[in-house]
Amino acid sequence: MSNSIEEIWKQGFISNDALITPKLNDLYNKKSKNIVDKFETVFKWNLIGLVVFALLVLVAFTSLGIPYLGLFISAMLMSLVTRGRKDQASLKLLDKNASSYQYLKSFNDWLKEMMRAYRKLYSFFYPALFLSIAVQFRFSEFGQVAINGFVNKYPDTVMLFATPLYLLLAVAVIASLLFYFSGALYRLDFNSLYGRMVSKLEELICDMEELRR
Amino acid sequence: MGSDFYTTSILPYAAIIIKICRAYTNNQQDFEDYYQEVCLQIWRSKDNFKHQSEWSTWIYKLSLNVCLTYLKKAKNSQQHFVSDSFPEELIQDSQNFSEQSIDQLYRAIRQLSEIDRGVILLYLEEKPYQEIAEIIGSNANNIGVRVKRIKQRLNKILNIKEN
Repeated sequence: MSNSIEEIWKQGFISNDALITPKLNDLYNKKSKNIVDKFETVFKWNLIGLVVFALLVLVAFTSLGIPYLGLFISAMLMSLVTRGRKDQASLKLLDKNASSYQYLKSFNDWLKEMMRAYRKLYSFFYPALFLSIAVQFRFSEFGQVAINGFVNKYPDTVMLFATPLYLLLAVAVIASLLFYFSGALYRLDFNSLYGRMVSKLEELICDMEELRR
Repeated sequence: MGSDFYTTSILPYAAIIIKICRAYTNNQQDFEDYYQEVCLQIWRSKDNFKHQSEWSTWIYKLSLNVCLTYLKKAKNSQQHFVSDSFPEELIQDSQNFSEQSIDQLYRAIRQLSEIDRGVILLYLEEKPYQEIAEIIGSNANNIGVRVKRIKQRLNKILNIKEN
């Protein structure tokens, strides 16, 4: 090659008009499908993770001698998986032939509906999880020893169902707080996995709405 | 993206974007993705343009940044560039100049590091060292040395005898 790189460059682009500009019209189609695909993938792995975790809990709690608690927590986790599988199926029903804007809007609606349903589910999930652990503690050998020690120390303690009333009240208060803050706890959980995707989705819809004006 | 903005503020500078995107991609699909992403980012960031530099300089800077970020993302997601299949029609040579030469030059440029690609593109676009330094975030002396080294490497790859 005899030309210098400067000459090759200059002669290669001798006319800027000769450079063909790619079309932009497919941009949002690609982006919208990417974002939904990404969400589907994370969602799928989240469900797989839940199944694995449910099995681990069952095995671990059984080997610790508390199989009923393990079974209960596993069943609760599996109920989340069942709900998730239904959501997965309904996500597939979104019309991919709709315009990018409509597609993203329907995905956003699906997401909001799913979050609303999960918030409801979690408002029972968190307190139930805590109550099951508390009940297991109450009927465990260790729990009985602890209660006996407490009663010996405070003999005037009011008892209900062979359990100090203060302890029952404390459990009730914590369960109520978990019920009350379940929405916030779920949001934290959700955002840690999907937060970035959701803000990208909102940004994209915002862009598209501006474009439509 | 408003079509007016695209027509008046991006399209006249499309050649810059095309040249940069081409240096960071190996196939038409990636090239179009990068081009679209750069255009979108220009539109989104247009309010950040403070008129402290030329609009074209700002486009160079933004295009390079977007390409570098995109390249990083592609690397992170294990997306390797395997083909080198730009369609023949991408560059129409109106002067019957050997099309092979510019393609070979691009192939050679793609063998450079990400930053070196940006430096040499700006140099070939006849940007002064000071401006390249401002775009890349370096100083003019370093850029001069770097350009010399990159040119030597490109000459070696392309088998060009230096004067």
